[in-house]
Amino acid sequence: MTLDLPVRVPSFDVTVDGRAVRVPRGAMILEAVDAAQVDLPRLCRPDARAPLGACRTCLVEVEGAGGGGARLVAACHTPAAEGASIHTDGERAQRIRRGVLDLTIGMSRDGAGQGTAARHARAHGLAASSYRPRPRAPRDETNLFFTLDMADCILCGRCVDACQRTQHIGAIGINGRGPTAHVGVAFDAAWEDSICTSCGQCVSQCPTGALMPKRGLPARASGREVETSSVTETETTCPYCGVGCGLSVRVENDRIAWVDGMPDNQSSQGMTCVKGRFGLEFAQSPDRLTHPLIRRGGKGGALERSTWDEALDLVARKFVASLGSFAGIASAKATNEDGYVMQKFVRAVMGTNNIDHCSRLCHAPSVVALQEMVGSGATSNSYADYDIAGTLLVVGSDTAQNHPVIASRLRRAVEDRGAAMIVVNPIRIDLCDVAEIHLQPHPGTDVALFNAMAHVILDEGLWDAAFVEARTEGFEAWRRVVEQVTPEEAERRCGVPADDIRRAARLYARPRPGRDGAARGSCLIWGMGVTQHTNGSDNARALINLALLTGQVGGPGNGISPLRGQNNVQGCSDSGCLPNSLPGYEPYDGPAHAKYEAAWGVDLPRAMGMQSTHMIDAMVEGTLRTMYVVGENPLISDPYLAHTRDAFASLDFLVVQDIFMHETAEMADVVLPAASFAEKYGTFTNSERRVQLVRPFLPAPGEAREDWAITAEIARRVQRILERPVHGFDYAGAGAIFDEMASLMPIIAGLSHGRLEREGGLQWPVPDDGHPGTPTLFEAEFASGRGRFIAVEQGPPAAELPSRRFPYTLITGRSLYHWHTGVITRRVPGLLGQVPVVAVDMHPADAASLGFAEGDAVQLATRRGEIVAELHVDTRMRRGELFVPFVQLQGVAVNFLTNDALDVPSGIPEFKACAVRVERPGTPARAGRGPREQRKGRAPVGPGGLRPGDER
Amino acid sequence: MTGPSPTPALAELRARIALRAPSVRILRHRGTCGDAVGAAMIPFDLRAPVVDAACDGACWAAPAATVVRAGHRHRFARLDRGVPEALAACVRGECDERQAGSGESGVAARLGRNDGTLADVLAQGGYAGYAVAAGLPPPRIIEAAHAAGLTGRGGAHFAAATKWGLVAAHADAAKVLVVNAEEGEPGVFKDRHLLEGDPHRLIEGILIACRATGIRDAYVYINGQARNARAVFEHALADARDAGILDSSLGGAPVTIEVRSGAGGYVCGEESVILNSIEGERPVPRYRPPYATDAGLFGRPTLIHNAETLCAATTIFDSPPPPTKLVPLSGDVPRPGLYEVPVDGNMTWAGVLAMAGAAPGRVQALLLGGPSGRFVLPGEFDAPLEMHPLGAGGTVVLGPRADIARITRELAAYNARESCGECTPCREGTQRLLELLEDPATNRDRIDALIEVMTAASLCALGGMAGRPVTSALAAFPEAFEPRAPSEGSAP
Repeated sequence: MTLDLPVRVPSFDVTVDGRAVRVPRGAMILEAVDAAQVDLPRLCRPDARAPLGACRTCLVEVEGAGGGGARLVAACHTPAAEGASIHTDGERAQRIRRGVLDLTIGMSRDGAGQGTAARHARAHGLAASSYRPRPRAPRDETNLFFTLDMADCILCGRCVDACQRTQHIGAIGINGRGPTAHVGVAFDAAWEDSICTSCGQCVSQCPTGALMPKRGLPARASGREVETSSVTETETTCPYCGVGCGLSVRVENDRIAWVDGMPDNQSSQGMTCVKGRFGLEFAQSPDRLTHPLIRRGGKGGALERSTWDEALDLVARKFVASLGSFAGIASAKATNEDGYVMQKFVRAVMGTNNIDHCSRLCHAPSVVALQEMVGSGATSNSYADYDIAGTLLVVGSDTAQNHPVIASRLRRAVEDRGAAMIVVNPIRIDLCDVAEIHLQPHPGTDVALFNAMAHVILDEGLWDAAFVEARTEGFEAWRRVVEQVTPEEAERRCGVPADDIRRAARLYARPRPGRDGAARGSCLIWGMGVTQHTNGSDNARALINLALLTGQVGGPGNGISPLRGQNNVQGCSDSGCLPNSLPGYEPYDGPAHAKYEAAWGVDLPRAMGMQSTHMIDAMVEGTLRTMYVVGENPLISDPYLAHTRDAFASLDFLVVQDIFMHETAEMADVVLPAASFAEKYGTFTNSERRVQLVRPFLPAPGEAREDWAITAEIARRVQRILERPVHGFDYAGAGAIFDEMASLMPIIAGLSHGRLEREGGLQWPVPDDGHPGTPTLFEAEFASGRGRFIAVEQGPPAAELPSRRFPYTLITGRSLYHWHTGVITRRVPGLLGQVPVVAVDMHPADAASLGFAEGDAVQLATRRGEIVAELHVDTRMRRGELFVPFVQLQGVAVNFLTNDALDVPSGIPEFKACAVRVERPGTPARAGRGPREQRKGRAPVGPGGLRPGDER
Repeated sequence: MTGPSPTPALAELRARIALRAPSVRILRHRGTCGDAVGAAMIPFDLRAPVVDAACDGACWAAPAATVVRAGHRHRFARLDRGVPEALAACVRGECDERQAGSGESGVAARLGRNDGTLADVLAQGGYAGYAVAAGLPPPRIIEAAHAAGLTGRGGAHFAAATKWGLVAAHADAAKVLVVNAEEGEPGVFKDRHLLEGDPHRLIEGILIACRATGIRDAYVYINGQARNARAVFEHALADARDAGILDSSLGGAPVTIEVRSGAGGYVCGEESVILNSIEGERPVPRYRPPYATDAGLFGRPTLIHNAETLCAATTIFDSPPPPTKLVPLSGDVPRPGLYEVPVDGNMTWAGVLAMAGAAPGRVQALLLGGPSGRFVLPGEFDAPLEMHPLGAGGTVVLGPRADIARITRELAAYNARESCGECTPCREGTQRLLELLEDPATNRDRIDALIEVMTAASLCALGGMAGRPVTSALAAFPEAFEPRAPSEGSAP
């Protein structure tokens, strides 16, 4: 028997065409109509957004409870009243709706209408409009991903709503009025010349196909909504950045036809960016790896196709031979289950903690600082906190390029909810359009800036003394340090006007109240601009001190968020692919060590493993002879690539397991073809700690296998050769792996694939089956008990500073249209078309002074190498600073230039600052490249990062 | 009819800002229509100072001037023919005790008959109504508005007291008043006259409405092309502010008044479009609910009134309050202009036309309400005028040779052009209606069916009423729409 629960949401009955339905108070009539399963047109009704009321096709007649004549109202925006009689099928309502639909399809090229509009017109007895067709011009095909054809447009406004109110881009609007009204970009320019980011939210909303993808077909516009025999819809999680957007992938005949956002997904709320919407087709690229490859004929030989059996046997034998000189790199693009099996293999079978992943290159300093100061290395809050925050402090994150959907939420918080944004970035990033304050420190001087902000907050009494007293330690010692750093002193160091520092400090410590006057919180959001420095850990510490000082952590609308870069970099870390801790961040010297030894039935190593950046040195030194690299391309993603290449070339044996051939795989002795996210089950964990399901929607190409299955098979073969018991790697599927993880890792103890299927993504920690997940960490106390202030002082800004011969500072980062090294985005024609070559952004005055113009080929040279890139003149740059994304295009990659100097605590390289000069292509490398020891830039370095003999 | 007697605060203000003017002055009526016919260049060679004033509503009289002596106001019309001896005689005091214009009380009492200074306005009774309201509890003001029968002069004639009550009920919210002075439709020029000719009356009305409802912030939305009206109003606003009137010098709570203008367009007079326009959004209407009185400008409870309504609100404490409506009268008539018409059961269209000098039998019809309006036929001219059917009051007199069918098509074309484009029935319907009217083969039933759809389904009144003049013309002048042979040379 079932229990009758009290109704929580007040609701009442109405009748629709005589049928009683129950709707919640405040519901619109359309909800009642839907509850009664009446197929009423609603051409302009956006998904998961407030109604627009523009198409006027959802008209119904309503009789109130008190009697009175029937009123004709639009169902989408008229609230249902208790006891109302709603009639969708009355003669008058049908006649008027038919009249509106007649006018609507009369806008189309053939008078018959398109998509949903045509379907409803036919249902109202209209095969074609009674008016002569009068389609609107023009057609715009300039966008690389979709076409606008006004001849199919009914001006419902959903695309504009999607652009302006959902994504908060504002690229398109209705231009003109009356007979000239049309969808267009500002000043009716070509679409590609607008600020459009090609997220395709507009296309997803178009009911007629006036906005139509150039490849594939959106469901709404297909006119084939009922013929679903050859169509599948699969809900999965985006494989690109760490936002973790929910995607609904429509597949027809084993081809991706269309990708929609999922309005129910709490991380993405129905949004996607251009990569999520239009960038999945790499999975069906013809050059996917389909068979194992073995290099025959020694190091100089060629990679040739082999059987799985031969390849796996070879790998197992070589791995056995390399015990003691082995390391593995796991993939932050693969699933939690893949990562877990990978680290289990490295630890339990290979007997080493030499396991790491690309987190080393992105948020390692954040993790170091967070672990020290609050006891947990993850984001403390949820994206939902940005929605309700009063102040958003966005530091070193070009969010619109790197986390586009979070950027949309940030813009919405500012534009719709009156939040104040402070951007800290040397570059004038897109978010500056909505920011109240933009601070532009010199690269590498963040510590001085944040110490000075703390100084102001202390000086002006804006700090939360009660929070500091009750929840933190180390305050007094820290205070003595920041009291020395006045805003004027910081201005001298970082170039930010002292008054701006004061304004920012006040705005962070006293968040902007809501429109209703209610107090709100401050969210601290940061990215690689903080971490990828030789002082990255100190930068993060200085930032986190601000949150502790003001108590802006652990409550609604506040918190600290290092935005994670890769789709599963959080999960890969959680799963234990780190050299210094077991799964769930449990240390080697704690009780967990014995737990894992018992569970896995082996003795586990206790010595710290190697960080991936140190593995390069170990290869050169000869102590690391064999590498197992899964889903990573270090030969483009690591700094100082000439050096990295030398290191990999010195290996005895390199196994690369991936979905495409790439620079690292080309050096491998064995290449193993893996299934992509599109072809397997598993989970990704996003930047807000939300564990979400990944589901297959395509068959794996050729003989490609899931990563975990390949690793498990290698493990079994190694065990067999070593004559150990063959056990611990016989998983029936990803679900079984997850169950093992949940049984060992307290942070996900309450999760299973089954629960995620039922409830959707949940945020760890989830300690038990009934626990709803944890949107906010540290509500009552920090993971380490008390939060710890750590005093840090501004050191040299960078290991390598501009000099006379290398006068510019080179900043690297990412482009919206490419994913990291470009291995997958180069396989998406639209994305490649957006950014086909590596470009260097330069201030126009610098370009003029050098005699270069937009589009020129220029040579960038550092002490470590040269590349030729296309010049892009851009006022978002300051003079003296250059920006190049680290994607490899046409063989050009900026990491040939970058410095491999490391931040000591975290091992992250300094991607964000090195000294570079700009010259004409073909200029010979002058005596710029000194001896290796001088180039290597390993810490410790002297003041200013200069070494004896460096010329200035 | 008399205004209320001054409160002590008002008496103090009058004493502080006293009118110091010679006993005889000549007010030269400039403003848009006067300047258009050279009012600025009339040579007065008399021993009285000449002061610029706005149009007093007698558009037909321009260029005109009014001689002002104590207790005597005498307008002289058509001075382009020269300054008449009668005017000089009037300046000398040798003149009949008769008055020009439409009366000394009511909304237009001071219209164009003041020199634009606060002192002159105070001397003529300005702010007396607000001085009374400032001393009353807000519910009493609402009662007074109710008793005076104050209704919305923008056309819908909704009871102002009811609206004030709805807004006042949001006791704790930060409410706003929005004044609709857009007046974008053809044939209506009353609000522009009020802003140019007696801006302090609007300010006073704003203060009374704010006092009644507890509003502290007001926005005045003035047509972007009415630059003179905006300049004059802002000048008056500055004077009122300097005199402390916005800031409790007459009692009441401080009120901020800001001026906003859009880029123009008929639809910008629709009240929810104004809210979008002020917010910086595209000028398209909002659906209701929510109603503006609950969630309007920036989501705040919002009282929206036509400028004339608030000007009329200054008379609710008069005894008795004058039940008048401003009627901008234009077209084929000898004396076009702005008429303040008593709506007391005694006035008829025939009376209005007589004031305007129209010869009986020379009027084919009146177009009342412009592109959203209807045709009034001579058969209705003797019926007493009522407030609600007057709408906003815009009236165009159509002479015997007026081409009704062409006028109807022009109105349809205007609506099609001015449709904002937001909703399908209006955007498409207005264009299709024009097509049907231009096609001689059109079946009447199709027009009726389309108008039914536009009327029932449109998002706002622009589309909802766009079919009204067509329906009216088809009913009143069916013969004008008889299928006719295409004229020679026209396209098939």
